[in-house]
Amino acid sequence: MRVLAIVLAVLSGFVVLAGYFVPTFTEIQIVLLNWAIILAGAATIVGVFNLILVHADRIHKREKGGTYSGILLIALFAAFLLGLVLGPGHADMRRLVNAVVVPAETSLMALLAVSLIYGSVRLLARRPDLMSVVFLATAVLMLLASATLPFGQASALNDFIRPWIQHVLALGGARGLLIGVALGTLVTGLRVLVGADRPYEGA
Amino acid sequence: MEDAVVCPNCGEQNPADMPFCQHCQWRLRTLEAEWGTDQEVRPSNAPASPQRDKSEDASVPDWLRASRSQASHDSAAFGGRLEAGRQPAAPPSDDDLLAGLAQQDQPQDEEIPDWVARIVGMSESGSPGQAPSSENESELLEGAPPADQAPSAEHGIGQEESQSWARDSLPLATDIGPQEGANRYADAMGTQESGTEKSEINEWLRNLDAAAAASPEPPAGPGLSASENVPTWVRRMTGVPDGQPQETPGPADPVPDWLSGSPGRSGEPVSAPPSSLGIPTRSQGRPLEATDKASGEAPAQSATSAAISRGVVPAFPLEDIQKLDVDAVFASMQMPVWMAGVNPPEATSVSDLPPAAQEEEPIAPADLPSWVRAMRPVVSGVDQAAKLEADKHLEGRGPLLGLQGVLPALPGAALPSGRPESHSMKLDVSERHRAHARLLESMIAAETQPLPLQGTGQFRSHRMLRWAISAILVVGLGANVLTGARNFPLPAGVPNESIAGIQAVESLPPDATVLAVFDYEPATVGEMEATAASLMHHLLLLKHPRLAVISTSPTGSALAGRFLAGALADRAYMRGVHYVDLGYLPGGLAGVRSFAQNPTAAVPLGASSEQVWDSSVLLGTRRLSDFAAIILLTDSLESGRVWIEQTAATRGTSPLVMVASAQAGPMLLPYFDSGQADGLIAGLNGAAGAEIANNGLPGLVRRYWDAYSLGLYLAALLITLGSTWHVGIGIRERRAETA
Amino acid sequence: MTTDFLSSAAAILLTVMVLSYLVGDNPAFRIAVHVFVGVTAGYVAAVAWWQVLLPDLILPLVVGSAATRAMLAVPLLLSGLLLMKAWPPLSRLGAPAMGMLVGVAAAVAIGGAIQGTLFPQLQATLESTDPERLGSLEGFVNSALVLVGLITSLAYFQFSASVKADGSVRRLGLIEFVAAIGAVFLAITLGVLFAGAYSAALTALIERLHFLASFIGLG
Repeated sequence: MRVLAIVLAVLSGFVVLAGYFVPTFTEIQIVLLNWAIILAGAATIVGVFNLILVHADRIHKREKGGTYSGILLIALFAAFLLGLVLGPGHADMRRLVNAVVVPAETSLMALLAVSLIYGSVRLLARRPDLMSVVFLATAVLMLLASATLPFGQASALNDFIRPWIQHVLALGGARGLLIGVALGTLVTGLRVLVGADRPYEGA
Repeated sequence: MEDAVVCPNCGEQNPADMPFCQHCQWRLRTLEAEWGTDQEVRPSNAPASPQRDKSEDASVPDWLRASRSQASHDSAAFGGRLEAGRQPAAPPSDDDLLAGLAQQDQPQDEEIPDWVARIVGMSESGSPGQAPSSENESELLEGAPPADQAPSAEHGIGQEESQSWARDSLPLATDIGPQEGANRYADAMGTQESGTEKSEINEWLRNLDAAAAASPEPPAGPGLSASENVPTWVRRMTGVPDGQPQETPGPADPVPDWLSGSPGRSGEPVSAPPSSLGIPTRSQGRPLEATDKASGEAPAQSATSAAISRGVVPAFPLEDIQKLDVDAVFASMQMPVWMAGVNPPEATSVSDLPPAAQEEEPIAPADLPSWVRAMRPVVSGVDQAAKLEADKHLEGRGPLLGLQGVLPALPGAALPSGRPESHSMKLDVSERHRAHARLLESMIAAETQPLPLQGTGQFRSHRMLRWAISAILVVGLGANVLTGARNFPLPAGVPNESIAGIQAVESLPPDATVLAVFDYEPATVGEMEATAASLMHHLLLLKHPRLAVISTSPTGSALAGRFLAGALADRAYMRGVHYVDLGYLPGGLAGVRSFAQNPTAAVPLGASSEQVWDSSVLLGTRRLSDFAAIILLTDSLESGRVWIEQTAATRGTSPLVMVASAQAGPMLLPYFDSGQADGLIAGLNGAAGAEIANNGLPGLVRRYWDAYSLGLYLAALLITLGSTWHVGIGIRERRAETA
Repeated sequence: MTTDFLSSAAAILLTVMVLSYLVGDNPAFRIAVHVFVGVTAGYVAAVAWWQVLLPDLILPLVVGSAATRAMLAVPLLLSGLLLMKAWPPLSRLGAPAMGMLVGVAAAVAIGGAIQGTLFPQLQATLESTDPERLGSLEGFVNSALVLVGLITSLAYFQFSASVKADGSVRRLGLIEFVAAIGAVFLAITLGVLFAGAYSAALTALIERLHFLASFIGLG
């Protein structure tokens, strides 16, 4: 199984990569990509199964938080059965998403506002260095420049400072980060294709 | 258990008053402790004065009293006979164990039994010889039960056990009369109780001594050959004819000093040990009677023959010793003082006897409780009880020469064996070891444990800070929301990327097929709908495109339906009529690449498994480049990067307009700057321009703008104040440290 | 109507339960989060079945042609093996399917990184230094700052170091100097990103407050 996994990974990877540069491999690239889509869908199911097993095990062992795990499993099975019967596009399923998923996730995002301010307030207490000062100064400047003043606005901030910081100072750093990420992706992908890294072997 | 004593050999606990270990028969108390004296234990040591008072006489049992009377009678007669044959005592040496006996002042009431006097001889003064070395004596006495233990009833030793002990200790102790015992001894030794007995005894002793002095070399061969130095009695017993060269014991088996110091060998009389000493030592050989009759005499005889065949001369051949009457020896001797207070044990069963005393039957293992057995060390292949029972080792050297089974099978004793004993490899883990192991494991585990948080004081202040920030934000923003104030104007300046996006949308042909990618999570629904509403409303309003909705997020389809039915409700776009839902595109970048290469193969059916590619909405659309534009709604850099990278080659001239969250906008800006994206509307700031361009429709940006601006100012204020506060505290602390 | 009211009430309840975390961790917040995770997981599983496995695998195998079925034999087998990863004793059987997924994803990532980011971004950087495009001094300075920011940011992530005479491990002096400048540009970039993240979270909070206000008839 281990050898088969390595062979599949390397072979499929090279064929797909060849499809980028050699037109002959485009068709087989499409086939492999469609297979990958199917496998990704199956992987989603596997992820949900794993979630069920983890929480079921917590309930079985009567660990702390087992009650919450029970609530989670009940909600999971209810939503799955409803979606299996009605279909995801059904109005009731949309209503379920709007009633549960959207409010909960949006509220969690709202909590982030408080956490970000709290973290930035305490940043200099934990790490008083030049980089922290530059970071906080830039953040405050951007916050001030993104808003408008009541009864008018500060043109200097909105029309010059903010665009200049975003399109000049931050653009260079952002581009550097993007190129660095691309280089890292390139190296990591090549290591996987040559078999040096095998994240699919598991534990 | 009160005053329990731990055996140094096997580690078992024993009662404090036990002189020997119940399990391995190891001596627990030294002879000094037994005798209550701090002097070295030597045979020459004068025993305690046998001062007997009348009370002691009353408590002395009848058998003891009878033996004393017999002993006193016989010793008187024996002492007279020995007087004439007394030789000057040989100079005592360190190896002369019994030499010291001659130096002891015999109390008047202590008379030496005949048998003792014959063996060791008596000096002219009647005093015993010099005290032998304590080392040899300790060797002799090692393992021997103390004298006061043997007949003690407190230790549960029975009559028979005391007799067997006595037999073990005193080879000549019998229950016959002294005269008869002497006769039997004389017969066994080949001598008669006559006037010539003394001279003959001295003769053979002298011969033995001379033989030992003359021939220190190891024996040349097996067997005992007769020589002029071999006593007659020895020859008679072993069957060696006269005239044959004597095979003397080698340097490994020297003649015992107590023999070398005896009269007839060195020419000096060796004082007989005082009768009061009466130390029952195992060195004096096995009892005369066949105490191991159950085991038969044949093994003893064979053991003796074996010893003789090895070139050693047993001083007391087992066969002859077994024939002697032990009780007679006791009867002939005067009971020493230290035995005066000893009472014979009660009649007990054989099972109460220690294993060494149960010589009528094979030594059975002790019947220990299960919990005691569990505590015993794991020793595989070694059964101590079996060892004791099967101990038939014949002593081939030292003072125990010729004796068999005198010493118990001590664990670790050097038994002649051609094969080393097998020991269990099982680790004997005690509770203490387990405790230490648990402690070590906890110490190692603690290394990976996170350190506990700081004190509650700081934690309380952190919680107060969070509450304060939450209260300021919620109250401030809530008040603005509730009041619906519009005090903060929208920004007048529109970012270039927003303008470019608006222009790209406005340049689309009407009724074109546009691909709308809803790649944002439910968490950013509020911002994304507010950001995209103006642009999408402007697009739908101006161009009436046919939309194809797709998402790489499982919830994207639901969010698209919510957006179209909520923020763009006035456009009344209906599914299946104005737009189609291509559903969920799994696989991340692989799925996007697949869709970019061949959309119909990647998504053959719609979200509800309906045929979409042949519908009126997507009529004539088969490739990615067939779409007039791609509107990408994303809240993450990853999603935007994937769509930009994977569709670059197959998008053709179709513009790509990104509507991004404020958190992803700055990182997606390089793609717009490089020309890979035709427009970027990031956050409310970017959407404000689109809303202005759309004549303020639908107005979500305007609705949120006041609270948005207030929130930005509050955040800037809190960050500034908090940072200044902590900087000031840090400066003050550093000044305090330097001061 | 009733259904809409119930869904709105549930939304309000969940919003309040989650926002109660501002006071501190409490059972209401935990219940709300667990309900959210459960419903999301169930919905996602239903979406994966209806929109991926059924149309892409099951239906073609049932109603498709022989060639289609033959082509789907491999993903069918691999999907079956992939499902074994849910059970730890059989998880090793899912390695081939995971291998193919990872291999394909790695190849796509490589192709996208090269064609979609590396070349275009480098090309854009070079074009920004084109004197014909600069136009003015301001443009020149801005382009120079962008270029400096790019180079120094990349140098900041250069971690090759050597052991010095005093035993310390340090990078080359020039790299250290350039990296220090890059750290400043990165701090500015991260500050901008922080402001954007806070803006997104703030907008979410404002949207929730508006939702609560609209439910009670205000706002």
